[in-house]
Amino acid sequence: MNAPQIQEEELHAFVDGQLPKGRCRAVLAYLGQHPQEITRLAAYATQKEELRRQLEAIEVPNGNATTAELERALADRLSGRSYREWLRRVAAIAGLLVVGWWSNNFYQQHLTERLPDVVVEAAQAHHIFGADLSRPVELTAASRVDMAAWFSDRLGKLVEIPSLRPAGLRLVGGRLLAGDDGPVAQLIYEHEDGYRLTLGVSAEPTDSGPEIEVVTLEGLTAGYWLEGALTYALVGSTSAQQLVAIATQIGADQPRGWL
Amino acid sequence: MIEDLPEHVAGLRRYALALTGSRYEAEDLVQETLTRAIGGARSFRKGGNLRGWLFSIMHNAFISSVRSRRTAERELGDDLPELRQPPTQLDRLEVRDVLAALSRLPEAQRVALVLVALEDFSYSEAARVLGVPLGTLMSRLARGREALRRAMNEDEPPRLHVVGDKQ
Repeated sequence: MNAPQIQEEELHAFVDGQLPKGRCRAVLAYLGQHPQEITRLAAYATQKEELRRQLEAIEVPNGNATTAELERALADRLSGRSYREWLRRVAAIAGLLVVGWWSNNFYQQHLTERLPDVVVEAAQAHHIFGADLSRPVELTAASRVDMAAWFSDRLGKLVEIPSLRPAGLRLVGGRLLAGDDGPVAQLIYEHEDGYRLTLGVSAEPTDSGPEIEVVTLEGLTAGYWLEGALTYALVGSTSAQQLVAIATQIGADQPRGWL
Repeated sequence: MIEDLPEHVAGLRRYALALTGSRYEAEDLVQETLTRAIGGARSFRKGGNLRGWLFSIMHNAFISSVRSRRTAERELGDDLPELRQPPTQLDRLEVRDVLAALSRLPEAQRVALVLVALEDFSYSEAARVLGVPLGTLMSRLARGREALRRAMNEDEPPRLHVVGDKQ
C-alpha cells in the first residue's frame, strides 16, 4: 500500500477539527505509518488547549463603564432602536417586580405605558457619563447661571438648576444630550460618599404627572415626574426610597400610596 | 447576531490581551475597536459575520496603533522610554509557559495561533480577519505551532534516559 499523500495543512486541520470529512481516513492512515507525527500533533493539541486555558485564566476586567457603554451604543447602531425598545421592556418588567415588592398599586397603572424618552436617555447617559467618576463633564458647575441659561435656550423653556446641597449632593456639571424626542439636559450630582446621581430634564410633553414614578433599569433606579412644562428623570444606583427623598427636594410630589 | 455582541466583546478582549500583553492596553484597544465599529456600523451587512467584522476592525486598529507607536518612537527617540518597551510581553501579566513562549513569537504567527486556538475561527475566517491568503495563514499557523513546540520542549527539564540496558 502506498503512503497516502498528506499535506501539512491537513495535519493542522486534523488538530483543529477543520478537516473535510472525506480526508479523515487518509490522515489517520498516514498517522498510523508515522508515529512520530502523532507525537508532534499531540503536542500541538496540548499547546492549543494550554493556550486556551491560560488565556482564559487571565482575569479580564470587564467592569469598564466606557467599554460597556460603547458596546451598548454599537448594539444600538447595529440594530436601529432595538436596544432602547429592550430597555423599555426591561423597565416594564422591573416595574412589575417593584409592584410585587411594595404591593403599592400606583406603579401598576403605568406599566403598560410608554416610558418617557427622557428616562431612557437619562439612564443611558448615566451609564456613559454619570457613573464613571473619571469622565469629564461638558459643562462644569462653575457657572450655574450660565448653565441654566444655556439649557433654557436649548430646551426652549426655563430650566433651573436645582441645588441638592441639603441632601449632601454637589453639582458636578452637565451636558446636553440629543434624545429621540428632543434635547435632554443632563445634570450630574456627586454625593459626599462618592456616588453620583443624574438628573435628566426634558421639555417634550409626556404623560407623566407631578407624582414621581419609580422604575428600575438595568440595576439603576429611576424616578420621573412632571413639573410645569418640564419632565424630570432622576437616575442613580440607589434605593427607591432614597431616590424619592431626593426627588421631592427637587420638586416631585410623593408617589400616591407612599407610606 | 447582535445578541451575541457581549460574547464577541469578551472574545475581542481576549484577543486584545494576546495582541498587547497588557490589560490596560487591551481595554484601550477594545474601546478603539468598538468606537471604530460604531462609526462604521453602516458598512456592516445585516446578517453578515459580526464576529469576523469586529475582529478585522480590531486587527486594523492594532496595526495602526503599532504603526503610530513606532512612528512616535522614531520621532521621540529616547525622550519617552516607556514607549520603547515592546508592546507584546505577556509576561507583564505574570503568566508563564506557553503564554510567555507565545509572546516571543513573531506577531503574525501569534495572531494566527490565537484566532485559531482561542477563538475557534475557521481558517478561512481567520485569513479574512487578518487580510491574508489562506495559504499564508496556514504557514503562519504551522510555523507558530512548531516554534511554540520547540520553545516548550526547551523549557522542559532534561529527561533521564535509560542507557544501561544495552550493556
